Parts: sequence; C-alpha cells; structure tokens
Amino acid sequence: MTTMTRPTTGTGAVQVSGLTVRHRRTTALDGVDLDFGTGVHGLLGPNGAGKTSLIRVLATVARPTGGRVELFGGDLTAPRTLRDARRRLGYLPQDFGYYPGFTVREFVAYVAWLKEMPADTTPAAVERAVARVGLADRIDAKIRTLSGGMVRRVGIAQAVVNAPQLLLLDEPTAGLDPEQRVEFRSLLRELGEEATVIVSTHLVEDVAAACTDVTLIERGRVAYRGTPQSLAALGRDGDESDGNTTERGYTAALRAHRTHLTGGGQA
Amino acid sequence: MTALLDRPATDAPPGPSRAPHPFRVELLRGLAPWAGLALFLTLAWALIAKSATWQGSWSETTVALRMAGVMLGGPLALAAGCWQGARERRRRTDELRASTARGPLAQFMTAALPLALWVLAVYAATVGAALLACAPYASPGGLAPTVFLSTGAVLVACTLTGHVVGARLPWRLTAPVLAVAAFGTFGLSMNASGVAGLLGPIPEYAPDFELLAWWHPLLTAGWFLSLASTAVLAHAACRRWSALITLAAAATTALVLSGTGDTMTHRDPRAGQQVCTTTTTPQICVNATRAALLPEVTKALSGLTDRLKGVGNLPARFEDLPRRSHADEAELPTLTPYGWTVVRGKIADHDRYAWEAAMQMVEADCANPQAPGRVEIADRAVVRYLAPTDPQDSMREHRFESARAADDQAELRRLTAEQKAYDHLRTMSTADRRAWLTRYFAPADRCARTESEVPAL
Amino acid sequence: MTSFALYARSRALPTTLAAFAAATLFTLWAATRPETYVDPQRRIPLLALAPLLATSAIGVSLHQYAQELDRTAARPWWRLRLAHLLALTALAALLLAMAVPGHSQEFGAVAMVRNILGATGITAAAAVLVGARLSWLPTLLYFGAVFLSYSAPHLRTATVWTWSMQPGPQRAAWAVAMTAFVVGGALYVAVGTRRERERS
Repeated sequence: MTTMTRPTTGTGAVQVSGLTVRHRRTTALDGVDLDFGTGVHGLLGPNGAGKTSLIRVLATVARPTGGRVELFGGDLTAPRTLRDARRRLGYLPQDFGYYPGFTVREFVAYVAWLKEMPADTTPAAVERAVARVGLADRIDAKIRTLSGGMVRRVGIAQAVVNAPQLLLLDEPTAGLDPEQRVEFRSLLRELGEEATVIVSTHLVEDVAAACTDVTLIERGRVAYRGTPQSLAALGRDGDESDGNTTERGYTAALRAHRTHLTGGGQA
Repeated sequence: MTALLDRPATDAPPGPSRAPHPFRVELLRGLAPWAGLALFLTLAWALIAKSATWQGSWSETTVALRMAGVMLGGPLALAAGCWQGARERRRRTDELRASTARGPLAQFMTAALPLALWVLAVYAATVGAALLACAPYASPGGLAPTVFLSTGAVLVACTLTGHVVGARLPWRLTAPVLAVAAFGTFGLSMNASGVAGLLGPIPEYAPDFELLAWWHPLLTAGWFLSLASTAVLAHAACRRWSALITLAAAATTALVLSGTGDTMTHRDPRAGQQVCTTTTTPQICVNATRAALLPEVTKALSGLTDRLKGVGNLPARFEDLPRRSHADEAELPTLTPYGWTVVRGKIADHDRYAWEAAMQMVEADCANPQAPGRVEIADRAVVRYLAPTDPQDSMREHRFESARAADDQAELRRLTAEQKAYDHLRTMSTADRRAWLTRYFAPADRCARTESEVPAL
Repeated sequence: MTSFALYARSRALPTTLAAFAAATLFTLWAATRPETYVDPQRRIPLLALAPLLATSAIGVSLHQYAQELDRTAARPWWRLRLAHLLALTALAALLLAMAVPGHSQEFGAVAMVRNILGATGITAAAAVLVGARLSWLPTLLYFGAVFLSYSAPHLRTATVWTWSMQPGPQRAAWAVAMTAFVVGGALYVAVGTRRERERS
C-alpha cells in the first residue's frame, strides 16, 4: 500500500483501526486504520469511495460492522463515552436538512440545545458561530429566504456552534461560490488550529488550500495518506497536460492504488 | 407557510442576550400554530352549527364538547402529530439529530409537546367559550368538568401517538389514513355497547337523565395517556423496557374501565323532580333539570291557561317527568332535545307549543286513538278554541278544498259539523263556556269516553 | 405505454391504487354486514370515510417529486393533469360505488359518487392552495365538521352546507358537489399544485 503515514499532532482525537462498514451487499469501508489529531484533514476520493461512510461512523450516526473507533480516547460502545463524544463533535451531513420556517438564530440555537450546550453560553455561541460564517446580518431571517450557499453556511454555523473538538464536514463547499469558498478555507484553517477537522470533499483545490493532511480513499480503503504537498509532488511526475499539480497527484495516487489492488490480487 | 407569530427581525433586542429555547421555537414556528388554527376553525364550525342543541343545558354542552373534541380534534391531532413526527425524515434532519448528545426522549418531547400544547390550548379556549355561551340559558347542574380533562388527555395522547407513527412510518399517506381510521374507530366505539364502548374515548350515556360519575372520564384519560406513553417510550426512551410499565398501567386501567358498566353513570336526582307554577290551572311543571325554562313555558301556555280560567275538572298539572302521566295529569309537550322546541332558552313557536299542550289535555295517550264521532268533534273544537293557530286554519281550508274537489260528502259533513261546533263554543257566553268545558273535562278516564259523556255542542 | 408507466410511477400511483383497493374492500366489508345492509342510515359514516380515504390518495398523488424539472418540460402539463385527475376520480367513483350494494338512492352508490366528486374537488383546490402533500386536510376537516353537525335542526335542510350527508339524488347537493369538482379540478388543471420548496 502506498500509504505514507504523517506523524499526527497531539494525542489524536480520532483513532480508527480495522474499520469495516457494510451495507447489505456492498462494502463501504474495508479494514481502514486511521488516526487524526489537531489540524485540518482532507478526505478525498471518487464518488462512492467510502468518504461519507467514514464520516458517518465518526459522527456516531452509523455503526461500524467491524473494527474499533475511538473518539477522544473513549470507546463508543459505552453510552456515557458516546454521549460525551457527541457533546464535543460538530457535524455537517452531506445532505444537510433544516427547518425552513426557523430563523438562522433559532435553528443554530436548536442545534446547540441538541448538543447539550449550557443555556447561559448558548446565545453568545450562536451569534459567534453565525458571524463566523458571515451571516450575522441575516441571523433573524428565516432559512427559507436564504440562498443555497447561505443555507450551506447555516449548516457550517450549526456544526461549529459548540466549538467542537472534532468537526466533521461532509462536502461543506458544495453550493458555495468561489469567494465564499476562499473565506471558508480560512475559517477551516482557523478551526484546525485547535480542533480536529475532517473535511470530505471532491474538490482537490480545497484540500490543497486548507488541509494539513490528505487521506485519499478509494473502494473502501485508504489509498494514500500524506500532506497536500506530497500529493502534489506525485502529480509533478505524471502527465502535465491537464489540471494543477494536486489534481494530477490525486489522479496518480488513485491510479497507483488501483494498480496495486489488481496487481496485489494477482500476485 | 409563515408562522402565526412571526415578527420582523427588527423587533429583536440587540446583543447576544437571547437564543430562544427549542421548545419555544417549536411552539411558534412550523406546524403547531397552524394545527391550532385549523382545530379552532373546525371546532367552532361544528359547535356553532349545532349550538341550538347544546346551548341551554350543561349536560348537553358537556357531551357536545366531548364529541366535537374527540371526533374532530382526535383525527386532527393524530394527523398533525404524524406530520410533525415525519418531519425529521421529510426535512432530512434525522442525520444531524442522530449525531447529537441530547437524549431521544427529550428530543421527542421538545418536538411533539408544543403541538399537543396548541391542541390543548385551543380545546380549552373552545370549552371556555362554549361554557360562556351556554351559561345564559342553562339551568344549574349537569356539568361534568372531568370530561373536559379526559378529552384534553385524549387529544394529547392522539398527538403523541401520531408523532410516533409519523416517525416510524414516514410516508405521505400515513397521516390521512391515520386520521380517517381514527374517525372510523372513534365513531364505531361510540356506538358500540359493552367493553368496546367503555374503552372508547366517548362512552355512551343518556345525559337527559343520567349523570356521569366524575372519576370515569379520568379513567378514560389515564387509559389513553398510558397507551400513548407506551408508544412514546417504546419509540424514544433510552430504556425501552420502561414502556412495559406504562403498558401495565394501560392494561390495569383498561381492566378497571371495562368493569365500570353500571357504575359509570347514576341517575340524575333532579330528573325525578319538577318545578311547578302555583298560579295557573292546570299547574305547569317543568323537569328540575330544565327548571330555568319554567317562565318561558308558562308564557307560551299563558293563552291556554287564560282560556281555562274558571273551568273545573281540569288536570291538576302538566307534568314533565320520565314516567306516564297520572290520571289527573296531562303531559307537558316535550321540550327536549334542545334545538327543536326550545332554542337558547326560548320556545321557538309559542302557538304550536300551546297547540301541542291542548292536544295533550284533550287527546291523552290512548291505546285506541279513534274516539267516537261526536267525541272527536268536541275534542277538535276544544283544541281549536284553546290554541287557535294559523297553520291549523290553513290545514282546515285545505281539507275543505280537497273534500270539495273529490266530492267527498261524508268528509264535508264532518268538516261542517266541526266548524259548527267550534263556532258554537266560541260564541257562547263566558259563563256558559266555562260550564260546558267543566262538563267536558269531567270524565276521569279520557280514553273510554262515550258520546253521552261529552256535552253537546 | 412505457412513458405512461413512468409517469404513473413518478406520481406514486401504485400507492394510490393500493389505497383505492383498501378503501373499496373496507367499504364492501362494512356495507355488506347484515345490520348495515338493512339500514341505509348506517352507511352514512362509510359515505364520509371511503371518499376521504380515496381522495386523500388522489390528493397525495398530485405531488410532484421534481416540480422544478416538471415545469421546464415542453409537454403541455394541463392535459396530463386533467387526465390524471379525471382518471383517478372515475376509478375511485366506480370502485366505491360498486362497494355499496343495496338501494342506491338512499345513502348508496349515488351519494358515494357525489361525495367522491365533491371531495376530489375540495382536495384538488387544496392541492393548489396548500400543496399536494397536505391537500387531504381541508377535506378531512370539512367532512368531519359536517358529519358531526348535519343532524342539527336548521342544517337538515341546508343542503348547500351538508351536501355530503344528503341521502342521494338531491339536486342542490349534487350541484354543490359538481361545482366543487369542476372549480377545484379546473384550478388544479390550470395552475398545478402549490410549489413546495423543501426538497423531497
């Protein structure tokens, strides 16, 4: 396997070993070992590679079929550690749902309550989270009056309202315009200074711009792990006709992994 | 959809001082206020349309409020609860919710109870309004306040159960099917006898002369609430086995309820009593359950009693008890069900009511209603004299015309004889007429009168 | 045929047909019970419940999963909408009319057809005003309120309000039901269901 393990910073909020997730006949994740510490971690991979399955397991929404998942050093099978982990995580699902009749403030406060934030710190935290995504002037607008990109930002605001130590963002930049994406990346970097941020995306440029670490997932396995720079370095060796270096690195790493899989099978 | 209490954002006080509690948000946003409005309009329509049938009697008002509350509010609460329960799937917020620390039961209650609260508040307001609307016309007694508690509990139970069903079966047809099924089931149980009726939300009884035991509606409330709690706990509790406790409570309540057949109601002690006038002959008596109607009835019959002044051998009273009249009594024409004869404390048609009273005096309930010819002619003349009304006149005209058209000589002779008898009675001197009427009312057994017992006209 | 089948599936018509079947079987079962068969009055609840169930299914079937996409279609939608509404109404009326055997003029097949027409009209109008997914609600509330109050003294003769509880061939009741059907149906055919913003 072409895995290049990069030394993780800190204790590692997320530790995953032998993680397997199966949905009926398909295997979404197949014996994945990963650990994530403080910083922004990009999850890359083609559609259906298993990114969302990994994020959902880490978000405690899906149960792994096999393997071990530890969040903040605790096993998720015990109700108390599970609850404690949930208080400390923020999650933006790929298919972010909301209540159109609620205002931004109401919705984010609702999520704060769901995350069992103390009532006295909630109001300030809500305003801070909404301001962070640049929606301070629309805080009392109903979500149904917002544009698609704004709704996506509400999704990010609800995910960060509890200043999570583990932030899981599944395709957060979908629907954001280029300017918002730039702002969002700087928000990501800011958040990654204190928390473990895991961002799943299919946009390689997001990873290059914001992530300290890239994990490439392909067919349920870790195909590549390293810094965005080392991924770009892979791209420099290959065909230079198309795309930027990180994108070419992504393609090269995928190709290498596929060759490895088929080749490994034959050996 | 915009929420009812939607305020412009400019009303918001500045600064990070407020973040509405989810319960408050659920209370003011989304479905709950609209469901409340829909319930209010529906209840208002049904109750106003039927107002004549309950205004004037606390018992009838109690029954009408229970019926409307359960039969209209129940299905609506189920459907609205179901809609609200399916919301997380519809809005795709279930994924986000599943990742949060707040316990599922707390989440459930925060999403479900505001709707229940709206339904309850609207029902309470409707009860209050209906009681106010009834008060000016009603005789005291017969109100069963626990019935309203029971109906409120049934509505809350319906909302919670609907929510569970909606969350478990989040299909678009679930809510209407649930509502229609509830409509049918509640209706069936209402007409069912035995255990099915006792376990239903509206056990049947006769509010005219029966009083509901005060504790019975509370049992019904407990039964429905414990059933709904079982569904809620099985659906959302961390410790699902706790649903067994409420299930046991439900089973116990059901057992107790199904054994309450005879003790559910007791006879209204007032139904066996009546209040009477002392100034008229015959006395006019009204059942104690509707004592407030006595002045109105007396007024409606004042023409009749005026004409009977000084006449002897009259029945002692018009009685209004749930039994056959005694020999010296005439039956008071029926005042119930409300809405027909009596509308909001008034007798709708005084002339007709007086005519019915005259008929009761003259043609008492006889097994063989066909009196001999001369007796019948006298009876008709007396009724016509005591309660002369327009409809009677036009009917007589009509009979005359059809007899003439058909050349029915026998009928024509009879009608002419009736007219002559009446004219004679009407044109007598007051003293003669009193004497004649005294003799006319003399036979004690009105059903066995022979022609010789009735004075000639 | 294939495009018809695809359209049917896009509107969840199999569910609708299943609802019709359920309503018909239930009505048939209830209407043929001996005590109901001899006393037409006992069929009154069926004349409310069965049309409610059938028209709820019709109303829900008007929901468009991909409304924005449908709007961009070159096909003239009004014809499809008209055909959709008429076909389902006719089918429901036929099935449920057959489900109430016995005297047709006295709370029987005639009243069933009338109630289905009227209820469909209200539901179609509601689909335009509040959206297809809640279109059954106004009909349910209206039928419920009328069912509970039609026995009131002055409402017995108020056919215009209590058309759904009239025994059968009363002209005024038919006029109201037909008006509801034509107006509600035309509104739906012309305008389509209310736009529902949330994705589903």
